[in-house]
Order: sequence, then C-alpha cells, then structure tokens
Amino acid sequence: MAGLELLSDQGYRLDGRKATELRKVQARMGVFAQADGSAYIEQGNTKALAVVYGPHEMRGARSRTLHDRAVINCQYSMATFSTAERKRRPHGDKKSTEMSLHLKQTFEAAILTQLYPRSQIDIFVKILQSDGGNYSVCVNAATLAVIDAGIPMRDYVCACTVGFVDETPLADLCYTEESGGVSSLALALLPRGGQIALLQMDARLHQDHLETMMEAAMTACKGVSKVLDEVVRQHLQEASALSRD
Amino acid sequence: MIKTEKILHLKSSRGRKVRVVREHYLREKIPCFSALCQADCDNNEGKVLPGDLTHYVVPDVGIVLDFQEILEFREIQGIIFTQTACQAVQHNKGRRQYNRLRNLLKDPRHDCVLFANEFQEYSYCPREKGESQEKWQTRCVYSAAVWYYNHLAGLKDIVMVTDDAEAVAQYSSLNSGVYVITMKARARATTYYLADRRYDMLPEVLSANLCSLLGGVDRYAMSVLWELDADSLEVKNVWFGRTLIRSSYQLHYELAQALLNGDEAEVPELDKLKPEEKDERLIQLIQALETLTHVARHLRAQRDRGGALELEGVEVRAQLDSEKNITALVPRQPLEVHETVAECMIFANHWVARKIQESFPHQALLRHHPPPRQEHFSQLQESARARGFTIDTRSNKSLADSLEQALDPQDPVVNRLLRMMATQAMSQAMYFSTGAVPTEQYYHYGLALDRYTHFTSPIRRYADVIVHRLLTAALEQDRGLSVAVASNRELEETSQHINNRNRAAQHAQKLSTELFQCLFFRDRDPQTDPTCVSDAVIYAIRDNGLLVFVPQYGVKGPVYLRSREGLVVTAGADGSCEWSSGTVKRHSDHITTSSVSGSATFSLFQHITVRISVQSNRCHADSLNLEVIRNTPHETPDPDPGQSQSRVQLVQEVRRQAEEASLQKASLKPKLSREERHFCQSKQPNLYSLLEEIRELSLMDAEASAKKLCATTA
Repeated sequence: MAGLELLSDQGYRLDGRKATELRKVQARMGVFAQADGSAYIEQGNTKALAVVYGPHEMRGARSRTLHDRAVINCQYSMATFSTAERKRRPHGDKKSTEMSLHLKQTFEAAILTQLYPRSQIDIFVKILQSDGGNYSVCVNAATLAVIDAGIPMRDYVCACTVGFVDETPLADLCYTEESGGVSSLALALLPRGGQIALLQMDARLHQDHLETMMEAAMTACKGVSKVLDEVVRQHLQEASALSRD
Repeated sequence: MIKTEKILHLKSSRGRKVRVVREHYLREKIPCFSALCQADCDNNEGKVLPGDLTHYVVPDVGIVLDFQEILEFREIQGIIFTQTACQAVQHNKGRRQYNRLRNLLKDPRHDCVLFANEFQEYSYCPREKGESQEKWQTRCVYSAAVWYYNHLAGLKDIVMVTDDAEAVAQYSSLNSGVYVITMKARARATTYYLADRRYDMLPEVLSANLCSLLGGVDRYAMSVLWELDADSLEVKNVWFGRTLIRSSYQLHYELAQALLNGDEAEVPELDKLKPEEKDERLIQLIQALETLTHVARHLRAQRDRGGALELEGVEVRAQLDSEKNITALVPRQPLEVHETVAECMIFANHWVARKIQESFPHQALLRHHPPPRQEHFSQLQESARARGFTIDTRSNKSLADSLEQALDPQDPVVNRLLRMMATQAMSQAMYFSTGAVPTEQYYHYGLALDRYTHFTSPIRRYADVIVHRLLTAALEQDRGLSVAVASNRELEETSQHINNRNRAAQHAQKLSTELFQCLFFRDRDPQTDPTCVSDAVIYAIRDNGLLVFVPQYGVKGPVYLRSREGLVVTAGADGSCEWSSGTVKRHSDHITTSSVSGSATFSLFQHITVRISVQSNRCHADSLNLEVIRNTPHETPDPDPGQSQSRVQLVQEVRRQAEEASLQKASLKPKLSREERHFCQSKQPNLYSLLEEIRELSLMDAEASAKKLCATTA
C-alpha cells in the first residue's frame, strides 16, 4: 500500500495518535496459576503472555551453574496464529533466538541475581498477537511477570520502540508503521535512574537524529513505567483484599 | 482518547484476501480552524476560516475527486475539506493530485482548512455491514458537517455539496442545520429543456438567482465592450473583462418590439415616475433600442454578405394551464427584437473566439460547423425544381441567396418548407479543441464566421463555462501572469463529452415535444373537434403516400394514400376524400391515385386538409396519425390576412379558452396528489419563462435551432 502517510500535516498518525502518544496498555498479572509468576499485556493490538519459573535448581546442564549468581534463561516465541500469515516455525528460528538473547541480557541487568547463587530463573514469553513493537511488549510483560513471581529487581524494566518520520520521532510503533520503512529503535530502560538496559537498532539513521530519538524513547519508556506501576499497585490491592476476606 | 478498531479487507501481496484489524484512536479535541469557534479550539497554528462568510462549504468525496480544480478557485471561500475526502484523493487519484490538495491546504491565499473528522469522537462513523464505500464516505462527511454546525453553535450555515442524489434526499430531511445540495454541472454539460420542464445544469441557487440578470440588481458579469465608429460601425476597439452590471430595465420581447414599433407600451420600471420624467426616460429607452437595432441590422447584413444562413426550425411550445394540462401547441413567433439580441450574442461569441484562439492557439474551445455534403441536398433540390426554383448549393452564400429567391408570392409556406429541407441537409455543429483540428476547419458554415464559440450562456452550457475560464486566463496572460489551462487532449475529450450530451439532450427534447403533441390530441375527439382538422402542406412524395407539414401546430408526418388492404384515397367533386380499391402512381413531383370512383392528384406544396388523431401502439409510444379528408386547403374559422396575425389571434384565443376552462374547473377541481402539487408549474411571470425566452434567442444561432426539428419521415 504505497503512499501511506505515516504522519499527516496536522500531526496525526495513521491510527489517530499524535507523535508522542503511546498505544493503549492493558495488563493483568497472575494469570497463570501453575507458574511462579505470570503476566499478560496488551499494548494496542500486540498481545503477549509472560511466564516466570524460579528461582529453582539448575536443570539441564549442571556445568553452567554460576557459583555466585542465578542464571537467567529466556525463551521468546511467537504463536503460529500471531501474524497475518500463519507462521510455519514458531521456535528456533534466528529471530527468536536473537530476541531471547536480548531479553536475557536485559533482565540480567535488572534482576538482583546475586541473591540467588547456583539457581536458575526461567522467563518464557509468547506473543499471541503481533502488531508491532514485539520486543518492547515482551520486556514489559516479563517485567510484570517477574514482579508477580516476587523476584526482586532494581527497577521496572520498561521498553519502547521509536521510529523517525519527517524529522519527528514517533513513539510506540505499530506494525504498519514499522513495515513502512521507518528507522526504528528499541530501548529498554530502568526509568528511575534513567539507565539503559538495552538499545537496539538495525536500520539506517543519521547520527544527528540519534539524540532526539533516544530522548523520545526515554520519555516514552517513562510513560510506560507509570502504567506498569499502576497495574502492579492495582494487582496488589486486589490480592490483599482477597487475602483479607 | 478512546480506542476503537477499523476493519479492512485487503489483498495481500500474494493475492489472498486478508482481513486486517487496525486500531483507531478517537479524541474530542480536534481543532476546527474557524474564527467563530466557541469552544477554545487550538486554532493558533495555520489558517483560520474567517467568520464573515455567508456559509461554509463541506464538499463530499465525489466532489473533491472530480471537481478539485473548481474548489481551487480563490473566489470560493470557506471550504472545509474532510479527512475522508483527502484520503480518498490519496488512494484514488495518486500522489500528484494529493500533493496539489495538500498545497492548496497550506496556501494562505485560499480559505480552506482540513478537518480531521475521522479522529473526532463525535463525527466518526464506523462502517456498517453491507454499506458501500461511497455511501459510508458520504455519511462520514455528513456527520462531520453536522458536528461543525453544532460546534459553532449554529452561528454559521454549513452547506454540504455532494453528487449523490439519494444522499441529498436522505439528509435534507434530517433537521440538523446542514444544507445538502448537488453539483452535477459537468456530468450534465447542458441544461435540458423539455416541453414542460427543465433540468438545470447548475443548481437552482446559482442558475435561478445569482447568475441571472434581474432588473435593478447588481450582478457580476464577464463582458465584451466594443467601440464602434459612429458612421461606418467598424469595430475600433474591443475590451474584455470582468464587470459589475445593473440592468435598468427588464423588458420582455413583446414589450421591446412594441416600443420599437411605436405602440403604446407599459414599462413596469417607469410606472412609478411622474409623467415628464417618465416621458424623458421613455424617449431615452426607445433611442437606445433603436441604436441597438440599427447596429444589429448592420452586423446581420455583414454576415449575410458572407453567406449566413437563415434556416427554419419548427418550434412549438406547449401552452399549459394552471393544472399542467395542455391547452394549445403554439408555434414560436419571431420578432425583429429576437434577431437583434441573437445578432449581438453571435457578435460576442465571435470576438471571444478570436481572443481565446489568439491567446491559446492549441488549447481553445471553439465551435465549428462543417459544410454539408452535397448528396444531402438532393431532396431540397428536387422539391425546389418542382416549383421552378433552382438551389445553388455550392457555397453557403449561394445557398442563402437561392433560398431568398425561392419565394412563392401566393404561398409563404413554400419558402418555409424549403428552408426546413435545407436544415435537414446540414451537418452537426460541434465543439472542438483548436489543437486537434487544422485551421481550415474552424469555419462555421451556418453563421459564415471564421471563428466561433459559445460564451453567452454559462448557466446552461458547460462549454461556456470553459470558455469563460479560457478568457480569464487569456486576460491574466496579457497582464503577464502565468496561467495553467487544460491541455489539448483534455479539452478534446471534454468537447466530445459535451457534444455527446448535447445530442442526447436534443433527442430528449425532440421526444418530449412529440409526446406533448400526442397528449394534446389524445383528449380531443378527431371526428367532432374542429381543432383536430387543419391545413397541411405537402413537402415530399413517397411511393404510397405523402409527407405533410401542418403549419398550425408545427407537426410533420406521413399521410398514407394507400392503406395496407389496398384501398386508395380518391377525391370527389367537392374535394372530399374517400377510400376505395385502386392504384397509386408516383411521379417526380406529384402522385396520382385512380380507382373506380375517381382519381386524385396530389402535388408538391399543395395544401390539403387533414384530420389529426392519436394512434396507440402497444410496442412503441403513441404517435400522431394524419388522415387526408379533403383535397383542398382548409379554411380556418377566422380569416387570416397574414400568418403572424393569425398566430397572435390563435394565442389569444387559446389563452381565453384556457382561462374559461380553468374557471370552469375551479369549482370541480380534482384533488391533486402531493407529487402533482409539488411538481406543478410555478406562476407566471417566473424565471423559467424568462430563461425560456433567452434560450430561444441564443439557440437561434442558426445551427442549433436547425437541429431541433421534430422530423418524422416516412
């Protein structure tokens, strides 16, 4: 569909958001009874389910046990029905492996692994519906799941994808925007300290624009963190109310 | 912000159908860009629509797609483009047109703004199941217009222009403060005149009021002003340009002619003045009329020297009473004043044609009349020969001169018939683009002018609208501004389109006139009603009958001398005709029937008496049946010294009858249905009659009137 105007003259994007507005975020924690921690998040039309098991004893290869901290094991996968065309190979393809690696790196930075030596924490994230910003949604979902599991973290880990169109950074890209040839940048942030857990981009961008993009990404992530915070407090209230009765 | 969903059905790159769901965020605070905003919209950036216009226009999707050039005129102010329309332009018309639209929106000289109606919470309409794309778009635009009206708290009228007639009907009935009108100008390309009603090219608000000349009211006009030498009437100087005109008098033709003739006439504008002033003004008026007539006569003489043709059309007007029933079929009465106005219009058209052709040698819209084929003149020449006249058809001048000389002092109808036959032989006059046709073919045969176009009636002819634009562009070019005009190819396509529509209109008009003729005779009993019996003139001979023309009603039709059963018509001693078995023999200029009871001869241009009745047919429309009842001319009840005299009397007689009839029927007036009341004719004098008169005029530039014959040949 050539000629889609990603940012109109009046400042509206394809779906009616302004350049800095995020998609609607809805999340629930504790959706999976048998796991230690779980969370489901919907960011716009992208839906992800994250499940955390642990900390528990090292399973599989004993040799990979670390003596002073926990090993974080991430797996990222997409449901076969999550995209417009049905995916043939949900696991094991290059993209999934790379994403899993990124998630692992992100959470190694955030989780206080020193508290659990010689153990393993498993994080499984599955995308149920993909509409752009897969990585960011996974990170957000995993954050909530880790909190639900009670594993201590330094801070929330919030992520957002940002694109650049007509000298303006667009926050929280959807699928149409991502596939419209926009240079997109994914940022995972620990909002309180402003520390970047992960910054990833594999498109072409002029170096003068990098600053603006990162600024925009950080602002967006802070917005996300507020929402996640809200969700956590809400969940806590509900849980305490239930336990009181 | 509210999140909703938009569901689209698209084709994927591999051709499979995909159902796509997209998010759609709606919000309340969408700026309206109007100076009258009551609700503190953030209108600080960009253009703002002024608050001093009469109304704001919201064009529908179809209008923006097709008429974007019209909306680009700086004169049209206060346009609100909806996001729906702009997206439609982007999808359907391509990048170039979309960029033009964007530039138009950004241009500070134009008063137009973009309203993001799809993102506004209250003006967004989700698409309903089974709704077509066009209907949904129209609905979106309509709800945007309604939102605007409510947002401005009713301070400004909002007019929505659409080209969907159903939508007009549907939305006009809702009382939301938004007026919905249509804009079918280009598609129609002309105004259709049927016998009792008119289909306008432009909507009422333009053609009936803003664009027509009314006495004493200021109107914008595009004018041609000539400076003529006082003695020789040569054109010394010509000026084209925009003017403001206020007509001092609004005279109808009969009144103007009466003033010229020196008869007593009541001029309504002078009614209220004192006698001395009234006389003075009257003298001025008559002097002006006389000068105009003098100039027109001179112009006409010039054209005649070049070979202009005066051809006869058979024009009948159906006279209707208050209840739309036909009381008479009245032939037109040409007065000299008609010719004067026609001549002036032809002059104007000619000079405008010269101007636009000089300025845009390859992109001007002109009108030409190719010379007729010599083969088509055969009937004319044979018929003329029967009376001893020769018609020289080699050039238009020779044809005009021959027709002038082909006069029978005892029977003026002969000349009229010859002219009608000449008209039949003519080719069609057509619009063309100057780049598509070589210069030799620009000539207008019927008017004897080397350049001609249509300029004087932009209300009812789309070609005139185009010529006005070209003239404006030519004037701007003279001032050194750069102009953009339609290319030769576009103009050629447009002119072909207009030619087609004109042909269709003429066809419809012809059929309408025939229908009204049938309706007139349907209610009259042919055996007893004297109006069904009339004088007829034979203008052609066929193998088994004649073709006759009835001057009283302007009807042409066949008269059979031999019926299907083999019976022929023979005439008795007193001329009355009867049917009996016999034979028919055809000669070049007469036809003889012979049988046991007698014989009869019918020659060309002979007058006979016919009875007119209506013949019903299951498969086709009703047609008129002409039956010869006497071999001799028919005497009308009132003796007629001259034809025009009898026509006037006929008109008066008819009017009197109509009045009596309506008085009679007043007591037992049948209840009209709602449709009839809605559609019945408005009272005289009204704009329709005024425009009718103007139309008669301008269509008298010979070729047009020639083509409006209702000819039925055997």
